[in-house]
Amino acid sequence: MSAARIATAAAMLVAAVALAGCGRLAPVDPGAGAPAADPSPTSLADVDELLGEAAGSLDDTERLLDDADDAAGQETQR
Amino acid sequence: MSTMIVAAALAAILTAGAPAAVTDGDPTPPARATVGEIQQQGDLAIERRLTALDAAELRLGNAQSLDEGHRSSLEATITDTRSGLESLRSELDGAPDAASARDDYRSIFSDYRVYAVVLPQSYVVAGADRAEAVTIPRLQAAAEALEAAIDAQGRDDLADDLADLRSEIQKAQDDLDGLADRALAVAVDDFDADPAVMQDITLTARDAVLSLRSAVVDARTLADELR
Repeated sequence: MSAARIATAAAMLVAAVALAGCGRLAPVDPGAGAPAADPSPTSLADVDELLGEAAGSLDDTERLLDDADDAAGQETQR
Repeated sequence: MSTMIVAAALAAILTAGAPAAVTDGDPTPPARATVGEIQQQGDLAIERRLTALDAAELRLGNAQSLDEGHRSSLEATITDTRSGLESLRSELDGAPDAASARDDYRSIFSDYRVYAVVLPQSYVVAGADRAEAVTIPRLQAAAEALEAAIDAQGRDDLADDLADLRSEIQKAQDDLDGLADRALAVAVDDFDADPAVMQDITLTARDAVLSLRSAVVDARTLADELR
């Protein structure tokens, strides 16, 4: 391979890396073979996380309300 | 017939001869209970309440989402109740006769209402604060993200579902609005006037929990639709 060809290949590689760095080569979902749809899966994953936290804190609230009822029930027994 | 008469007579004799018992379930000790019996049962009833107050105080200390003003009020109530019960125990232990001991014993129930007011108050306020500080903001953020996704995907068909989700959150907010303060305002006198006062507040909090549970389900369904 001549020095000129090596230089051309290197330049193409640098250009490809630069384009990828600028985001012009969009990441592709390997399964779908197409760019990720908008909204990105990340935002829906965030929704899942938010809902998990909401459900967890609701469990806490429900436990506290159960304890409130249990305590009130003891007034007549104790 | 004669068998029944004998059985009834036997039962009457056994009942009359049975030792007087003071139960924690009855704020009025039996008339025949001795000073010692009343003191013993009273001390037990006070000890149970002090233990329950300690447990509640520990839980409030660990409740990170509890509003600081609410925390101060609840801790002050617990401290006052504890010191009142400790004074009452000294008074009961030094009661000179059964009549005084009986008055002190009744006071455990009628003047403090640890189980009926103080503990439910602590737990309802902590639960309501948790829902307001953690659950609702998380659901609102989820609704925002879902709305953005609906817009981005042009899914106008999901607009009603999103409105339902927001409506459930709003219902819970309405239920919880001022509920902790209502619970904190309940005093022993309020319970005496209306024994269901704390129960009504707890039920309102449960309504809010139901709305928020529906909101979580709605949001999950929407998220699935958008995937």
